[in-house]
Amino acid sequence: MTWISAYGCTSAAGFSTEELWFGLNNGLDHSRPIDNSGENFPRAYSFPNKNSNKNQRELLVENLLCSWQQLNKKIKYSEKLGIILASTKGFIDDVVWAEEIPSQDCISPILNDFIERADISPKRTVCVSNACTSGISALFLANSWIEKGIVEEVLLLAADAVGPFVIRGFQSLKVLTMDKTRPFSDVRSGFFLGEATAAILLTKKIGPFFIRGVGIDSEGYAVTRPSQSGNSLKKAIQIAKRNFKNPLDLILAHGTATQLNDKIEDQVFYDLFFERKEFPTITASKWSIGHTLATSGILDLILGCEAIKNQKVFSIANSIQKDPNFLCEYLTLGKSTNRKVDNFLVSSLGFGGLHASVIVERG
Amino acid sequence: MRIVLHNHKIIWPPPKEPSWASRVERWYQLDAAAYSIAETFSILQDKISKKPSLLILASPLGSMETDFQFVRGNYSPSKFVHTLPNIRSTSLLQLMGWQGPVLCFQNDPFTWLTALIEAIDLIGPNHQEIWVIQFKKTNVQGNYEVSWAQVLNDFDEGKISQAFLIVSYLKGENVKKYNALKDQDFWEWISKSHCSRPFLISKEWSLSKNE
Repeated sequence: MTWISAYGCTSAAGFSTEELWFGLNNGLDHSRPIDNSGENFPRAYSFPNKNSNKNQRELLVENLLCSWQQLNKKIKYSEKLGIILASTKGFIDDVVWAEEIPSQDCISPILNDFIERADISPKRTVCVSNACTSGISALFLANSWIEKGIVEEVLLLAADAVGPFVIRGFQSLKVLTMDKTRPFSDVRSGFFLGEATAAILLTKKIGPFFIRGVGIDSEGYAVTRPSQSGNSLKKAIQIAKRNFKNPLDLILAHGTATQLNDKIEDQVFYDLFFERKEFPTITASKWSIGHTLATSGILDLILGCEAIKNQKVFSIANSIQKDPNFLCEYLTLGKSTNRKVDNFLVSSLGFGGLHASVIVERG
Repeated sequence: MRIVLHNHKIIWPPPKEPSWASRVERWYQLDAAAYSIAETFSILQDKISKKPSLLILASPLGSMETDFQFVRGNYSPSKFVHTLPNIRSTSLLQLMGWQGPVLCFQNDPFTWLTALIEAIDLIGPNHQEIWVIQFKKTNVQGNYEVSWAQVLNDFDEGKISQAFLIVSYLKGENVKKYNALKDQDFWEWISKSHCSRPFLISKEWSLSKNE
């Protein structure tokens, strides 16, 4: 049994979960398009401390420490503490423009720096790099560690920066919009990128939120797109809800606002819930802070916990009208956000046919 | 528990079209890692008939070589997708006709051992067979190495603590904290070792080397 006992984050909304929650509930879009005009892509794109002169590695560590400090500072960690860092590209821009290939990857040094500066002594550490499902995939591993008694607590960290490398990559894929991120909308055209970090403390001791199940699945259908059937996402959700028998209250969708991803999520949510006369509220967060890559699933997990705490959800304020071809209902602009929330599901998709999902209940 | 290791040297770019070309979408766009893993599977598939319940990718250096190629080329989208180290499993999954959980780990300079230890600890009733696959560049230009470990739950789960035993054995010491042993030490040991035949590490664990 794994419980969430505390969490914190930084994002384009600011240095705290409260600022993120406030922005989402007040229709604030903190994200912005990439300047397409020239070569001078920003090294730090949307972190609140983006104007510092620090390199990507330092910036990521600094933001991770800020996320971690939002957990109760008086926490006395178990001697059997594990730490997992989820990231897609770490501090890639600090190394990839140099002459020579470095001798170490660009994710694990972030974890080492964090451990040193936080002055904690984990029994076990690893970095998970599962594209944009990295956060929930790391949660899958953390849950396995706790359930098998390998550790008693896991500090799960997630961090990604958006620099020239990532921007060039997503531009090449033509998935970035110059409009706004409008998940599940009839006029959706892709997403903005966003930077974020997050920290959550998972424990086997009873806490305010309980992880009911985590599922991950990977299909070899294609490199960048999931299969039209949504089979793999469906499987990941079915694994997550294996031991969950209650009606689902809320879905925090991946909601990238790309044509295909939103369509597949709609089909899967319909097949698994709406067709069975279950009508969870569906919302998404990327419209406000951009697509935060490895951190996105963990931010949605934190937002689901906030929804339980506040008995309120946030709408997809950039989406005025849902795609008329979609089968499910979405919390588009203007819909009531006062909802009973005792549980929620997070859906996460990544390149390489990766899918991940988690179901969390009030503790 | 039993671990079977397979090690293969792969040349990339490939000298000719691979036998599995028609089964992988746009195989010619694969990077060295994705190609090498797919090629190794095609060599090994008769020896490893079972499918795993979990696939672990050990990715020392992440996808750094492809990252460098991406920014020094024309920012090709087909190159960019391979700058995510998990992508190297996509062609493998197509060849295997398999769908399931995949985890991609980095923990340099302990990436391989970390991945192996994770597999050892996760094996049990829920996972009867876990594959740990590592891709790395060798010192010879165009030569790559794929290491493939089948971690099998053949025996009753041992009561002896985790991976300490395997690493202690590898180092020839009774007690050695695993993270003091770097991947390089492991490979040096394995290359010089006497393990040309399967042997038992303990009643519960064995290690064999197939080349």
